[in-house]
Amino acid sequence: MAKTLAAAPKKKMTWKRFKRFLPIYALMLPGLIYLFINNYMPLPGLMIAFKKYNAGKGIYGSDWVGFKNFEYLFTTDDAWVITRNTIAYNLAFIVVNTVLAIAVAIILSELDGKIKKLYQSAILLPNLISTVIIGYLVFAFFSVENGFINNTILPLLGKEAVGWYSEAKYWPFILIFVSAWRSVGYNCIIYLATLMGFDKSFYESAKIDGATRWQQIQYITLPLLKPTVIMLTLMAIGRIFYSDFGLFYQVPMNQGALYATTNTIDTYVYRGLLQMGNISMSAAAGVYQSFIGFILVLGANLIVRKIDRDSALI
Amino acid sequence: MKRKVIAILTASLMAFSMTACGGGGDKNTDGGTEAGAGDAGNAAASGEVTHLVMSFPTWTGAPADTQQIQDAMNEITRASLGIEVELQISDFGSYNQNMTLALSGGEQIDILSTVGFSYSNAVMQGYLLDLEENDLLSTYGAGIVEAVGEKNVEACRIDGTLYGLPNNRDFAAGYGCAAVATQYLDGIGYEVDKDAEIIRITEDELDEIYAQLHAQYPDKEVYRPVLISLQQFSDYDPLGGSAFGVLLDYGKELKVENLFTSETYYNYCERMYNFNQMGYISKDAATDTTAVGELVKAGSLMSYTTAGKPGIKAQESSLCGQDMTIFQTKENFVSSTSVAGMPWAIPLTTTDAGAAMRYLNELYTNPDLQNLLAWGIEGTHYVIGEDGLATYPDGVDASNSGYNHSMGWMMPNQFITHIWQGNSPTLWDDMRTFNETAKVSAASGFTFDPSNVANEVTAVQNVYNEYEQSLEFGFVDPATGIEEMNQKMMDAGLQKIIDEKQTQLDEWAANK
Repeated sequence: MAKTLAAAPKKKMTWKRFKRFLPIYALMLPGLIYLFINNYMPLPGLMIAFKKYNAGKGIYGSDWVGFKNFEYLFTTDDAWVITRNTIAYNLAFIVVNTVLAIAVAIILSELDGKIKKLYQSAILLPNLISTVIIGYLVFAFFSVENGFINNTILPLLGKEAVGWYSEAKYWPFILIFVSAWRSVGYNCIIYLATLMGFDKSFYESAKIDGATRWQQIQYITLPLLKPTVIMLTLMAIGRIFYSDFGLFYQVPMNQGALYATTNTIDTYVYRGLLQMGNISMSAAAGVYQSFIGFILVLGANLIVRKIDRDSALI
Repeated sequence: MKRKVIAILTASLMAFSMTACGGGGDKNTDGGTEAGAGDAGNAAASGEVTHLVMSFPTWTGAPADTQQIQDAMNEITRASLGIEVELQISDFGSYNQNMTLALSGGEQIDILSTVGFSYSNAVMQGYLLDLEENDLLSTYGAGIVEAVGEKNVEACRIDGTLYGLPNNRDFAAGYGCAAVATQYLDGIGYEVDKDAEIIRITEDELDEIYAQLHAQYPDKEVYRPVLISLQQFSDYDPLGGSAFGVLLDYGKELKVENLFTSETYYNYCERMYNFNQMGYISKDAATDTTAVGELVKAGSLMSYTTAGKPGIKAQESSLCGQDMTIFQTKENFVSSTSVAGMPWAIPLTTTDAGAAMRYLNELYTNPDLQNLLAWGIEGTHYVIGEDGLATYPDGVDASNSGYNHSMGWMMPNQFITHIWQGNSPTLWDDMRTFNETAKVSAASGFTFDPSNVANEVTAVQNVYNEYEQSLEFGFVDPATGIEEMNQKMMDAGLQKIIDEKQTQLDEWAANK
């Protein structure tokens, strides 16, 4: 459907055409109104980022200060560290979580009946646990004095105990693992739903032609999944400059010694502003995040359009 | 056809205007309450009652019997002042956020405690009313100034303007205080005077006690540092409440210095590092956020730092569920930020500033009103024993009392309330003496306005967060760690903060 519309020569938007589709446009109205109120009406509030906010003077009456509120983000090399961490972690999450989610979805689709329901619920469970509790689950493993790893695993291997919460180098692996463990169940549902919708006749004819399971996956399932993968990845890239605050703040237990590998833009801003409570500087960080996120979405979309025009958003 | 189009257009327009009406409707109700409050304000003059909203936090949020307390308080003030008050109590953790939202959203709040969110910050953001505007304080608040003392009121000025009123409490703090569970002292045969509130010893003597404790109880954690331990165990004045630019040696001179290159800081970190090397401190100290009192109660910890004051032994003993001995190795000290630490204020969103000030005045001077707020209703929440001290009625204790917030220290005037059993009957007099005899920082009453260096403070704070625990809990060798942190802080603009503090301090001293 989309293909035929895109391929058709563009008709001019005439009054007649508009009239014909008017009832359909009217259906769009509630959604548009909601979008306007929720997403566009607060936009003037962005100006707080460029002002020295004073409650007595109000948002509109406060003094303009230009880009002064943004300076603190760039006064140290922290700006580089947090930007790197935020983007690198999110890239790793996108790759690892997507691959795992597809793999799990395919495996689940091969199962049937009650077992499938059981597995599906079991891997969804971590997604429902609060991050604070996940933080303590991780702590139960990595606690220096009483943790499972230091007390059971490492002695078994004949290794020395490790100060997990003071050595930054281990945390990229721990965080990626925790993120995958938590989100794979949820992500695989979307892929599983798409998989279940595929035309079974593809697989039947492949079987008649003597294709193996692996070949079926390789030549039928994965190509059919491509649009979904691109769509979900694009949406994930749009949020690439937002980090999962709970994961980076609660799971490493807010340990200063781990900042080199656990500090992201959200935790940095939170920690810094916790002391100051400065609304303008928080808004500045928000604007910076949105701006970079916007550029990244447009950039990613541009690349996708070069590769596969139909899957691009705009 | 055209008619149809018009019909659809009008229909959608109507739908649109209906949603608009919905929004408008809300606004009208808002307007309604505002108008109502305004009416009440006018009505007060003609003998009717003004409705005020008063906000403060307790550790756990509004106690179960808050409504009863509110009714009892209103019974007093409705007749005498023509004012009734609505108590808006949040839990301590969310108080800051609730207040920021309420104040920036223009909700009516007439009286609030600035505990838990920075007073100077609230002033910077423009939330608080100038209390001397239209002679507010001198007209309605004479009793307040008398109750807390002119000098202490003056200490709450920011840039010469008074936005808050200090509360009567322990302004001084005993520095270098360590609480040690008495049972372990008995275990090592250390003789203590069990009735003494605070026992003065030197730091070396304290370290010797720790060494013996560790030898006797090798499985227990000897000492657990917390973030505030650094300040409790040194002698600097944190100007404006931050460690970036301080006065050393109990604020003897008005010379702002870098704490992190001082001997004080090095010695502190080195002592903790040695503690760690000797195994006094748990390896999980930085990640474990269990309160020290709980650890002592659980029998895994023997000692921790505290701030000395009259009544401290009773306070810590009840906290830990056993007799605690308080040692003090340093002096009693009033830092520059102490007095203006948590003043009571009238925010801009008040509907009747005059009534708010009259009510505050009553809170500072009327013992009946203040006892209600601090302890609850006599006979229900407390009874007065034969010794004149307050205690729980039969069948009531800390766990089932409907009004037991233990926030007496936050109340406007604790000194006119009852004294709780277990304390000295002369507690409030002791506290006044304690405040008056302590060393006072030369910068007492100075408030730092960080708005010129907001960027630097945020950046330096981020560096500090990274190193604070590793250094001050003794997990990192200070010989290398301090230098590394200091360098990063300098890069982030620490010197600029120090210079700004010095400039403001000099200006303040010149205008004094």
